[in-house]
Amino acid sequence: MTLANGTIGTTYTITGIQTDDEELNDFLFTLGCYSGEKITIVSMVSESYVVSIRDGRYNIDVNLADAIAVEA
Amino acid sequence: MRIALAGNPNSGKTTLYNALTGKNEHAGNWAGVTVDKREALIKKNLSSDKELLAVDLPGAYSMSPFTSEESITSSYVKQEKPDAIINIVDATNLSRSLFFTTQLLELGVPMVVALNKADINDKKETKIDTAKLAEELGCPVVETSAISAKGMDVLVAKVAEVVGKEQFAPFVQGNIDLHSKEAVNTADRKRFDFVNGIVSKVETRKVLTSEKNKQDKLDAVLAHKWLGIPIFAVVMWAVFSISQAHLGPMIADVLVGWIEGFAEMVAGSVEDASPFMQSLLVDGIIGGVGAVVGFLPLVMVMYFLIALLEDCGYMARVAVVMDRFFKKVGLSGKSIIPMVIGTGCAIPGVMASRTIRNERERRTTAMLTPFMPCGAKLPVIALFAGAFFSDASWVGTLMYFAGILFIILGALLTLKITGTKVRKSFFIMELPEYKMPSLKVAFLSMMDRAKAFIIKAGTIILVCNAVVQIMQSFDWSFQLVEEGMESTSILASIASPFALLFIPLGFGIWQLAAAAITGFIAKENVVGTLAVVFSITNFIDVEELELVAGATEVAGIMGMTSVAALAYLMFNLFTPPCFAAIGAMNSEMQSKKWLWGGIALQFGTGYAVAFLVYQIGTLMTTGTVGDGFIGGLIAVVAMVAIVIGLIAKGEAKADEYALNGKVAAK
Amino acid sequence: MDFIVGLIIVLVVGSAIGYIVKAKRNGVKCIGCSAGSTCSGHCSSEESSCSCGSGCHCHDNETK
Repeated sequence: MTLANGTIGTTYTITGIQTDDEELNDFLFTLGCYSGEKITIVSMVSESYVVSIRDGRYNIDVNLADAIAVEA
Repeated sequence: MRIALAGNPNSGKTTLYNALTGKNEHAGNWAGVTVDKREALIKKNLSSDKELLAVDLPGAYSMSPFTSEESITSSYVKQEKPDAIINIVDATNLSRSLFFTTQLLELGVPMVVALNKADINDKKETKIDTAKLAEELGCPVVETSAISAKGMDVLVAKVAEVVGKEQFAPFVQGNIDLHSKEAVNTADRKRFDFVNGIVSKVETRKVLTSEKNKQDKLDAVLAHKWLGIPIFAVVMWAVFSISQAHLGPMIADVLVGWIEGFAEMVAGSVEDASPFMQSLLVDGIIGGVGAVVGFLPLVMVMYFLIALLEDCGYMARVAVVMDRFFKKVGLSGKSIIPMVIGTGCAIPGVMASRTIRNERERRTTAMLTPFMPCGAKLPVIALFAGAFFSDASWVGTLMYFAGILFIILGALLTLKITGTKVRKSFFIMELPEYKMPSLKVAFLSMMDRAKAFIIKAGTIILVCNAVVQIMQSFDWSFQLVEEGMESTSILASIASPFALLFIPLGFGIWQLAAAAITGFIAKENVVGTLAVVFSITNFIDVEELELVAGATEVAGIMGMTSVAALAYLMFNLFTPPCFAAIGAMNSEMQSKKWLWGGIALQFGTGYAVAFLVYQIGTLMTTGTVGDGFIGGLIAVVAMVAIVIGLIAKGEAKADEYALNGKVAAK
Repeated sequence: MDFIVGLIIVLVVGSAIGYIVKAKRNGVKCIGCSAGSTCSGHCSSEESSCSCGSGCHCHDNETK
């Protein structure tokens, strides 16, 4: 599954980033968003997700949420 | 000695830099405000009289650059070899920040870690064992709170201590093949594992970041799908209302009284001089500059409020709300940062568009940012709002949102003309925590704007007004123009042909045309020039606390209806910005084609909008269309035709791309 | 009297122009714009990060 069909308030383990955009992949890595790491959906605002990765809070859009493969 | 400040975005580098140097650089509570490096000497009382130069760098998450501002940071610390690095670490997000820290330590440059935002941690009862952290990292760690300038003396003392010493890295990547994606990735994972190890040893957390908190409740309202924009509108209206209709004019009233007193005093003492000299000094220089400076309190109050908004973390939420709309027209939430900065001045706004990776998006943002009403346009808005409309605050708010609307429409048009399909874009933005805005920061930001405003009024505006006054006083045979014969002056004869073009827009008067033209040098000139050509010195009433002395009187002198005034205001706001901003557009776009396209779009927008406002408004108020309707209509229809032609060409291009794509796929 | 007033005018306008010229020489892009002086970088080296100052086109080594 991807983060886009996850539920609010749940912590998932990232299994991979599904994108050909290598830069995006690398950028997410520096934030600590890579396979094996935890990601929590905190809430949804304005058709986008508020997620917590490590100790940072980020707003990501549906496209990006859909590119982050996770498992419960 | 040079000391580089490096750290993650929004870790507080610029705030720390300001605290160290006593400078007053623009800092915002969100990522990406600083896009270029800057340097200044550290305050003498901190550096014990040594020459220490602090270098503020844009935020970076790692040494491998993804954005141009990140590459500024990494190339600076790698190649320019500063004598020491202060690594600003966001204490609330140790587990991410230390990744960059360990990379910096590998450079071998002596380093001190400034554990910033320590005060927020206290509130959340997160404890960090600084002694242990220092031991693990192998460099001094100092707790700081840049906002309240706490820990600065200790920080500088530690820096002085480490300079010249060798720096050892606690984690060494070792010799790996940097070209092998996999090897780098594995090494980076190891680095993160190492960081996790340190964090688990030094940090104890009571509140997890992943838990829902009060901030989320606030977000649910402020960044709500439907409520987000109305709330933003109300906030902006409140800003305009306080600054343009209440507090601002109250202070302006006093200031204008002083300026008038000064002008009268000067006028009294130069009574013996020739009338030309008198009017040049009193009406041209003092009157013109005074008219602009009279709006200073309005501008100051406005920027005080905007600084509060930026500091509390609300602007990042606005970006989230707007992302949805911007994405539909091929921009992203990232374009918001330049636009918000553009409300101060279009130049740093355009420069901030550099943070956008996609070239088309970056150029489009640089082209459209000047549509935001900047600080120089505020006096123009305030003048017309006050002179022609009973409630000034809605005019300002309306202009603000009209700016946003033109940006969205302009972006859509650019998308069509360039023939780009909306590509799948990703948006990620760090959400800073809400905090009580600092009054001190807002005050300093306001004083900084005020200083800049006065300098501009005392230099460019002053010179322009003097030139306008001289050009208005002489005719082409260099004879003084007699009273009542102003239309024979040099100024009138230059401006008149332009005035013809403005007839369909409702302001075909040479004085107004001249003011609009001088506006390209600096937008405040519109106010200054109007003051000079109509000999109005006081735009703010002393007795009645009204923004404009006898509003109807000023309206009468200018000889235009409210509808024409609104058209004139919008023309000035949405035509190309001042020359300096056009220069900034040029250097960010890196393409003459885009530059001229942008200028044409801005001219077209200004003209078409003014035309529609004037003609439709006149039709509604009087029942017939205004002057020069046919001529204007032809011009606007021609513009529309050109745009449609360009769109058709763009679509053909888009189809071609699609076709090529298919061929390539086979 | 004309002379004194003329002198004052020349002095005021002259110092304003002087200020503008000085600021422009120092590379300030927009006088009286609070961030106009932020970009003080000149195009010194090929990797330098200067992207300000109209006409100087040495953008940072863009990651492509």
